[in-house]
Amino acid sequence: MKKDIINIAIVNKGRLKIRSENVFKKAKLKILTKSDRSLVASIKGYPSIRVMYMNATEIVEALGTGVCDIGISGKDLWRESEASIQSKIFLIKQYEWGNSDLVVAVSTSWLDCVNPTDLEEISFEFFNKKKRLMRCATKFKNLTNEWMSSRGITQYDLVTSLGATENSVEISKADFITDLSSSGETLRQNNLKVIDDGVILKSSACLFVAKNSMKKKEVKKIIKLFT
Amino acid sequence: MKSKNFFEKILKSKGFKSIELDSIIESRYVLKRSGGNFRQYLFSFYDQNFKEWSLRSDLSISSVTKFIKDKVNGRTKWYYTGEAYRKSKIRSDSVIKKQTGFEIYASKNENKDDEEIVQTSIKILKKTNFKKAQLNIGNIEIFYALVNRLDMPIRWKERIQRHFSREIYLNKLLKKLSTNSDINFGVVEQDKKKAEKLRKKNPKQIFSGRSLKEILDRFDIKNYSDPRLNSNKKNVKIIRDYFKISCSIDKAPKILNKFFKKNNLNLIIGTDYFPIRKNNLKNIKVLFSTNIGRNVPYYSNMVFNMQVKIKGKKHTFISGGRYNFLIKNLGYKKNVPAVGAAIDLNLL
Repeated sequence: MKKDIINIAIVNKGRLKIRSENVFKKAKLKILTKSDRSLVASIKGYPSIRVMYMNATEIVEALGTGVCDIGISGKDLWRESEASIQSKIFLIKQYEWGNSDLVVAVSTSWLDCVNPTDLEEISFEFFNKKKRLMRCATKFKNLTNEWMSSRGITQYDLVTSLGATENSVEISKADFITDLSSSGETLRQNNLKVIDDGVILKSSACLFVAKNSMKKKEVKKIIKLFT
Repeated sequence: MKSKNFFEKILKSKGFKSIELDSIIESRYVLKRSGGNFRQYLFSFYDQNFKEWSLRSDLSISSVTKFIKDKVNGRTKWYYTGEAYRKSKIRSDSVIKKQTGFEIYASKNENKDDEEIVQTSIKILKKTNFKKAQLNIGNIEIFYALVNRLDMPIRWKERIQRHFSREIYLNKLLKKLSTNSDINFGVVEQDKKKAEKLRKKNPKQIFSGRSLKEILDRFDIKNYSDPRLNSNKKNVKIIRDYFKISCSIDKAPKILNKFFKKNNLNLIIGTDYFPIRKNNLKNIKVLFSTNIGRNVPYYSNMVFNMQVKIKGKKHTFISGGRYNFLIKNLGYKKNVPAVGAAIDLNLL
């Protein structure tokens, strides 16, 4: 990586890509791409800026490892990242788009489970009667662990989910889940309900900067344009 | 500083046998005791058969698994020295904890063995360069007895007892109990209607790992059998006041009994709850405290710690307690009462 190049990472597809590109438009920065599929672009009039299109999780990693200087990604992914990555990134601005909540959801048939205290008690039911730990499917292990710990829930095991977490309960892969939810419709369709006090994190798209890049004049200038 | 191994001589002279503990342990043993939440603190890995192992994170757990594996019979006294490896959220914390542990398994006379562990700790402390110390003694069994006497739903009693070792969370629970804030009355009414529909289904039907019977039984206990009482605020106050009790050890039974009488709990504590009854043991001040042993989830009865001052700051040099249910919890066929203590070698 050349020192004089400022790398800005944005999401490479979907609605987040469009919304991220709008941030550039608002800042009067025109993105120049060779083709629709090109994953690297430049900014008109700013030869020292490079725009990199990446997966949202990779953006957080890239900021933490110094691959890029500025990035737009989800708050959830930043908070979920390892402490060694998270501590190297500053959150500059939280946008009002890309909203979703990371929630704790249980089967709608679990009528007796309405809050974390119930979940804690049920975890002991699994431990004492079924001689196993209650299983939670999630893509967000760190945030889930943190929430469970703060609610006194210890008797559980996490099951890694890479996608379609909502069906984990239906297919008996897990006993409950934590997952992102925007409207709650997918949860409802899969017979799941969010428990009271079950919002682990309110997430949305955010503008991040790598701590080490904060000293660069060019970076400060771009941040000013974006905010 | 005296030789760091002087206490091994003391332990041998008291009949404790030296043992070696395994460096790695099957993760399921640790998780069984501490729950899956503890996984984040483990240094763990998988073998070629996909069995998960971890570096020992707690020497007592390693000792218990050895006791189970070796199929030891009868009263057993042993000690070990080694390192426990545990991640921490505090950056300045060391991941390596050096300790010597000594234990008595299968106590025939629990009070006598409790006393022996505490007296051995005192003897070890006296051989160090620490000139003064404070010995704090408590008993979790008294807390359990107190909670059982309170007029509140059984599931709340169990919950409070279960979280004795999680101080911050227990405080949150007590707050919920005093304000009834864990019940959403609007949702309860809707769920009561849903419950009536579910009652027509097969009670053995499984929903997310639980049978319908289990779900409805708990629902009924929660919403019909356990009506909230006005006395919950009073109960919470009693528990909070109990945790404030700290006094010289000789006065402990009198002060506790006065406290129980004042709160109409019909509970009387005798001197057999305390392994030491003297207030001063040559530069060691002995106190009773209701608020110790709250960081180890497997302690069940007597607990103690010995604090010393280093550069004006208090440090726990030796801590221990009785754990009568840990061995069965970790897979042994029956309950084996045990008591033990650990010396923090980093302080020597």
